[in-house]
Amino acid sequence: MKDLIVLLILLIIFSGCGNNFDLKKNVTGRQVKLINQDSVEVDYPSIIKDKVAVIGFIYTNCPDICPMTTHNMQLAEEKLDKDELNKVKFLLITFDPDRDTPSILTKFAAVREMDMDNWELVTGSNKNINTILDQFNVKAIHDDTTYNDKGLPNYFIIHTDRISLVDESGNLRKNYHGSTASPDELAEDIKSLL
Amino acid sequence: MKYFILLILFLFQSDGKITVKDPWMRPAPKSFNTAFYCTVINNGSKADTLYKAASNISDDVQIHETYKKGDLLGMRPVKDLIVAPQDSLVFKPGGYHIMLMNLNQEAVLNQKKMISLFFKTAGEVKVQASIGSSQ
Repeated sequence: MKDLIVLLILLIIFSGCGNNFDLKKNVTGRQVKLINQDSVEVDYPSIIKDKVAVIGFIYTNCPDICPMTTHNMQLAEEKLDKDELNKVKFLLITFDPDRDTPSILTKFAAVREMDMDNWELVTGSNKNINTILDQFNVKAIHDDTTYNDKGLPNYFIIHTDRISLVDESGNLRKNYHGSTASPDELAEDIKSLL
Repeated sequence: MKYFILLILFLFQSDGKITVKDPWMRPAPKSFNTAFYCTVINNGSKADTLYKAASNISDDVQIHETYKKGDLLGMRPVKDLIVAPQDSLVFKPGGYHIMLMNLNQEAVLNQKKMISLFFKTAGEVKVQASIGSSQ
């Protein structure tokens, strides 16, 4: 009887191991049209269908936080082998669609030497982008617009610092602080969902 | 009292011994923004103040900080940054950075670009920054 109790306790303890995920929220309920970096109209959630999706929320005029988020995703990507990468989609969604046109997204990807077999960057109408942001509870608030000496407008965005991990069934499983996320942890979490 | 304050300010002025360590900036296409990072070291016995930055690759260079507001992160310009004597001021991702806006040329990995940092006492300190990794 004593052995049985010990066994039960061990089973309870170890049944929790291997599962790093405290979330299971479906994020594919609302379908929206987006435009990718090649100016091709794509459909969310079809673009992440049957893949483990690593989704970063960024804007390209951000020189500090958003590049760190993107870089952490790239470092996690480097820790996956070819077979694993075939099952994963790295997706960047801009929350500044007015400025982040497809050509801007293409340049953003090129300067970071992204492997476009694994990555997709998307923009879209404000309405459709906001629909996705709502699903992931990501906030992006425009700061005041300022004008430089040449009269060119500029504004920054106060935003959620986020990478989200979504499983093959379209369930959000984990959120990370994008700029400080551990690439090792992210890569391990991706692998455990494959 | 006024003379006392002036005396204190005089005593704590830098003697111009500013050095810059590990200067780098992120790659960025033309017309994009990027950020420059480094460590400013004041080897002198008096404080100095960074009040401006400039570069030939951007007409709009600002001293910025990343800040947290609740769960959100944003950026904002900051004015004078004081570097205490025998101390350093660190510009790093997620903190202080020099923001170069609307680049007039591409900043490609492994290139070098010039940045000028302007101090109240040390004057202009020219720095050659490597274009480093995106982190």
